[in-house]
Amino acid sequence: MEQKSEENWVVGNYCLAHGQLNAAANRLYYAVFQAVLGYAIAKKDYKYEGQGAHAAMSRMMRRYRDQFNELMDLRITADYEKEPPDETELRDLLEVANRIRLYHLNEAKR
Amino acid sequence: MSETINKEQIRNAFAARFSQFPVTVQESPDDVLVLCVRVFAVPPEMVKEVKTFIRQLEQEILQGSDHVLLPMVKNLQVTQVHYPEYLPNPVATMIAQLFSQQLTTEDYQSVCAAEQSPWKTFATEPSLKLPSVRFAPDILRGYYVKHHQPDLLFTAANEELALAA
Repeated sequence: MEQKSEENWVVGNYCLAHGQLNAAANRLYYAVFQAVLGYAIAKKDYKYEGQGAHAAMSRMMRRYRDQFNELMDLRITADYEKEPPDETELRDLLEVANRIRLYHLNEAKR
Repeated sequence: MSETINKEQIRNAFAARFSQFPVTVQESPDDVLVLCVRVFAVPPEMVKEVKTFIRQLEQEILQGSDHVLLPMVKNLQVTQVHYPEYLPNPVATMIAQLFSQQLTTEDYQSVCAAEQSPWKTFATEPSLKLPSVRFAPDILRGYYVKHHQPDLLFTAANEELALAA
């Protein structure tokens, strides 16, 4: 999951820098999601059961749950809603999103 | 995972606090355990408050559940451009408020609060290019008529709605 997360993080930031907001929100969310998923599999014995992975990762969050859900909102907006995700909100979430990502990647390896 | 969530209960609980905002509750297209609470026409200064309330609702209604309530709050600008079907008629909203509130004649001071309501912003926001509504005088008249001449209020309401149509 670490490689997937890294790849999506790089692509997401590239898209954001080039104004491709829908792709950016999608990739940045999945970069964080995959880091948390990797941690859940490695440390919490999480097993993917066909659905409910996004809710399960959200439920696993404690301190940064609101921010994780904000990122999920932007990703669902990017994927399914009529409007693009809000650029300012996305940029404001970048720092904490990376913190969530790196924390779970590191914890998964411990 | 097989639990049934009453989406109507979530909608009603939200409406009890923010009756002025249209709301839908639906599963995320890619995760049925994520319930998207889509709220429309929210003034920018109230977005945070609405999101916080939805998070509180999750604590109250979905305690112990696998489900997640995801706030998806659309501000006025986004609603006007992308979801005009969710823009309420300000006149109809005002009249509905008059009928739904149990106001006493001593409550005239509430007019001041009504003037600060989202619909005041909604009606007077220049960028939205909507017809302005003479809010305070209408509400004042409505309050008075409701308590002293209720038949006139029905007539006035119908006239307002006919003009707005």
